[in-house]
Amino acid sequence: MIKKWTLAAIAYLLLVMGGYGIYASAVNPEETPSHTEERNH
Amino acid sequence: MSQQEKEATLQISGMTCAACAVRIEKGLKKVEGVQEATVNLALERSSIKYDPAVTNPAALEKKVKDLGYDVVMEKAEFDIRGMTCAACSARIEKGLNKLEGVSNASVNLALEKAAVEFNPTVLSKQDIIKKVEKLGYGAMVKEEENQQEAADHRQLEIEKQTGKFIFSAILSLPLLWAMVGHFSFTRFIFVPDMFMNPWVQLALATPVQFIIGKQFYVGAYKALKNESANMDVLVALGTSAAYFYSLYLSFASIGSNAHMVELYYETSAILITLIILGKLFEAKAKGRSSEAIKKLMGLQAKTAIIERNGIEQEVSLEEVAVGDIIHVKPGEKIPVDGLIVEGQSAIDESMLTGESVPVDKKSGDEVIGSTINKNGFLKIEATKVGRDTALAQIIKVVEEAQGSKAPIQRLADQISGVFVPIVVGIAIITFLVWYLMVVPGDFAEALEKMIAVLVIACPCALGLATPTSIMAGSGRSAEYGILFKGGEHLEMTHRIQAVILDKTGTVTNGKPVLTDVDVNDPYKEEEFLALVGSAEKQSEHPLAEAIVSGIREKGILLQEANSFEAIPGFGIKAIVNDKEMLVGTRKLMKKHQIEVSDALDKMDALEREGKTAMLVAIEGQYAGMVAVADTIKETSKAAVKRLKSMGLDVIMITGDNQQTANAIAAEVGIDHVIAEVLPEGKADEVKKLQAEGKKVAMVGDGINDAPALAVADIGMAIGTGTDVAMEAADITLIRGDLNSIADAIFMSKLTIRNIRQNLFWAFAYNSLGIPVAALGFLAPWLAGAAMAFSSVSVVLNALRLQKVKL
Repeated sequence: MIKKWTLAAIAYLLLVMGGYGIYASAVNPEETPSHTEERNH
Repeated sequence: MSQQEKEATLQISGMTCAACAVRIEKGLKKVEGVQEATVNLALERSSIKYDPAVTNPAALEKKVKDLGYDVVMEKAEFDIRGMTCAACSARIEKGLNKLEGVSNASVNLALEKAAVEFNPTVLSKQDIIKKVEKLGYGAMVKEEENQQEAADHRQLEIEKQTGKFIFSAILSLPLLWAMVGHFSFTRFIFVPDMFMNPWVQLALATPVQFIIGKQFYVGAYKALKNESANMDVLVALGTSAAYFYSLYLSFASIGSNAHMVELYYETSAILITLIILGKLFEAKAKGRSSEAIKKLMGLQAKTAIIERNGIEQEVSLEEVAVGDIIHVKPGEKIPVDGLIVEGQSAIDESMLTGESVPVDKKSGDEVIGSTINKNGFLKIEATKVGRDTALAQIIKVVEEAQGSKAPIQRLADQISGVFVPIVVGIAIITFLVWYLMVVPGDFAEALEKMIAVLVIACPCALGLATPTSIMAGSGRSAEYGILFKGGEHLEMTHRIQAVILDKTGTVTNGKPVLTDVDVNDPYKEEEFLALVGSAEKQSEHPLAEAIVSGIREKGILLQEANSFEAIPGFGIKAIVNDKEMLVGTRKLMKKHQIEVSDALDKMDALEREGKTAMLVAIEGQYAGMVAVADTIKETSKAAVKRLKSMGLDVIMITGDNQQTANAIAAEVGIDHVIAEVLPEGKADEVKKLQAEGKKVAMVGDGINDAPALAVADIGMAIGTGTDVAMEAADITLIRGDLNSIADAIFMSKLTIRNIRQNLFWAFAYNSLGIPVAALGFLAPWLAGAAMAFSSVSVVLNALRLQKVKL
């Protein structure tokens, strides 16, 4: 039971991060400026 | 039957003749609203026609009781599922008590149990289950065989909550990381861009909100449906407000620079994670409370060999009926309570009595189920089976004791009960004031203030305050061998003013050792002891073992006896070195016509000191005596001194005579002694002290202490005693050292202080935070952080208990 929930969370987290990665690098690289850079301005 | 007329049937006990029946009939007819009453003596049943607008079955029952008879009620226990807080248990209790035919219902939140006393002629167990289900919970009849299932159910619940916690923690951590980026003083911390993205945040927060948070929505719905509010309502409202507001902002920010938007997804996700953590602690605490019962059930034999129609057959314990003849071989457990009809044996009752010495029993003696038949074959007639056996009764006592509620835990629940509607009210007022007066027409800002109020008011720290401290406190105590059976005992222990110590096995070791040797001419002590030891060597009686090991310790070599015979109840007869030896009681000497009158004074004196003296005859002549006695534990004296220095009244209680008791009490420094108390009188002595207004702790080790342990405000079982005493007690002291009593009181004090600190923190956060948030000084994310910090501070404070040194 515990393992099931943990795996589900990790899998989901990776999926979200992967999805964002694809979105950020491949689909729309210009529209996702580095937040850190922006904050430092 | 007209509409204003109802019929009730009461099962009545205590009637002896027709006059009784008439008396009850007359009495019932006098009750206002009763139209007709008949009493059937043979069936012991009364049928009453009454006007439900004027009277009710409870009033009729009371009348019967007032007349001096009893109404037979059925008692049943139910496992209840789906309760989340004290409001739920109170609602079920109220609902069940309103049911016609129920005379008393009490619901225990911690054990998830309901005990219902009801009139079986009016309604059935099924009706009660239906009522509970109608209130929005699950119920099933609790049978003994359901025990295992209930335990598994709890274990599953713990695993499920752990899984949910890990799931929501993994998804909340990136959100927490992103939140840290909001603080000006934490700007140096690197936050990956992706975690700042509103859509990533939404993706992470959504499963937490609706998969993990589902239980709060369900709980809130149930509570609202029954016109009450609990913690679930606040959690659901606060997290939903934060989540949906963030969702709205996420959509509103499409097209603009997403990074400039302040979102509160982390507020909702972290809130849910922390509250799940609280639930997990709670589930663990609940699971532990049923361990004791499982252990007790394990003491029972599983099968019995019974003789029916002259044929031996092995049957399961449930099939044994009163009157069955049961065969018990040496080394086997006696399955049920009964009377010996054939055979004799030593019975090991230590699991029930704490008495390490097996008891010799013969035909006509009573035996208790789950004790062990040591060495003889026995035929036993079953007298008590099933729920009536001594062990079943003990299990019941333990269960009932566990059924009591923890007051301080209830306080937090009750406060959050009133708290919720008030907070919701304040939140709405805040919204209206901001929306209509402060910033007219600015919905987002007004909503923001309202969320801040809801979030800061989430009584999550309040919910964590008690269970975390209790878990930490009881966990640390357990490391020192002090097992508290429940939070209520941990709470009560620090109020103890008087400690009653049982003598045998508590102040003393409860194990006999050789204390006195008296030798007559012409024997020398060494020669005498060599003979006695050699004779006793083959005996398995604990007193003999004490003598033999005492002699061996003196460095005396023992020989093999040429012959040996144990005479139960008298002593032994043996031939050693061609000398005929007799060791045993006065009766043994009389039986063999040995003159011992000169020795009797000395023997009496030893017995007055609480020692067991045995006379020895060699070759038909009295040769001397040996005495064995219990010894005082090495730690007892220092422990008593420590208890006294804590301002406690220390009392010793014993069945021994006053003289012996005084001698032992003086040795350990106890001034107050209650001696010559019969086992059943111990509970009365506890009650007497309680009547003086004192909170009393009873410390004992055997089954004879069990009633006193139960009556006392706190019962402590010394762990070197029996499992059952431990189960009957509120606290088990595994070390068997009296210092543990002082340690237990000290731990209780620390834990309660810790709980109070936690409750103070939790309240301070909530009550200071609400006005600050309502006035608009607190952004929701800050409210969320403060809320999380209050929970963390409560947990950290509780964890300090794990470092306590005793």
